Amino acid sequence: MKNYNKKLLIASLLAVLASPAVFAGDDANGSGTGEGAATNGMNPGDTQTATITVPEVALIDVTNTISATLVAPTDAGDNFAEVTASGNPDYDISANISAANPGNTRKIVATSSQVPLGWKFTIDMAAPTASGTSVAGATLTNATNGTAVDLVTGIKNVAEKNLGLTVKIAPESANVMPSYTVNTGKTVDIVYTITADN
Amino acid sequence: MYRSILLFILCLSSAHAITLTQTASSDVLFDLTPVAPTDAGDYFADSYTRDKTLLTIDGIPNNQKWKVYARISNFVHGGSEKIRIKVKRTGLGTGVNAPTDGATGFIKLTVSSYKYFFKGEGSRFDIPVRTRIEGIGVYDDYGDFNTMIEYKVETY
Repeated sequence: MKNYNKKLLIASLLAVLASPAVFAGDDANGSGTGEGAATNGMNPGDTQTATITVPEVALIDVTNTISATLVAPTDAGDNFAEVTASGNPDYDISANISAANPGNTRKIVATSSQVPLGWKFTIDMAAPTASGTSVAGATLTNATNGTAVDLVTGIKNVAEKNLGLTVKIAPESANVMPSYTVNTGKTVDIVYTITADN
Repeated sequence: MYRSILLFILCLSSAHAITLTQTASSDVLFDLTPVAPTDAGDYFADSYTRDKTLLTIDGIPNNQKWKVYARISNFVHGGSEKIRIKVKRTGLGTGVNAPTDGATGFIKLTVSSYKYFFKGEGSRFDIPVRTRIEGIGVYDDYGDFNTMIEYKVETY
């Protein structure tokens, strides 16, 4: 009987010694709202979700005021010559595209509702160096009033300052003179907007 | 003799089971919406930190040494490492023995293997951890990006 008990105890001792490390217990649930599954079947651990939210950004800032004076022709048969607006216009832009839909790029458009009949505004906007394509010779005329005209397309993720912008004013047609405004300047608002490219 | 063996077995059977628990007050949320640029031409800062995480190592004798390791489940930004996750121990927590290491600089976590974080001895509660993201850049699309920060403890 004694020998039987002795064998039983030795067997029990061996069974305990052969069992996995007693300090290995997973905390499968963790605690707190950041809890998650255990990281490893053998080592106790816990997981935590890290979420990074990058919000949508679409900012553009164009030089507020530019001006131009058309010089009257001195020879009959001539029209006003094209002039470039002064004021060193440029623009800044911060914009990003969706991670979920990276193919949905952005573009910069210009609109106005105040271009007088016979006038033409030619706008050349440099594309950001990071991405985008400049649309050469984009024009606003009386006919485009209320209609957006593309200036830069294919914009992805950009944050750049002092990008080039040139606005030229000229008669829309070489043989049709714009109406005169005497000594009163004509104000024309041009709205620049970042919008969806497609 | 038999009593000694039986006592030894009982001692082993009642041994503690060590646990590591992150008791974050919430998931580590880096919502950059409130810090979005307001001026055209500007962008987000390169890095942000959050003090949301507390780690507890429990169920262990005071003389048992342990080490905590950490890693991330996946890169934050589409499989690249442009946005990096780092952690740093910012305090001692409570308990008999203070933890050491892991408090000098941020440790960059990777997906490939666990990085040693800090070590200690015995149960230790509410060890504060600072989480940092780095590499936020203008090349990042907008949206939500997730990863899991995985902590584990090993005795030695």
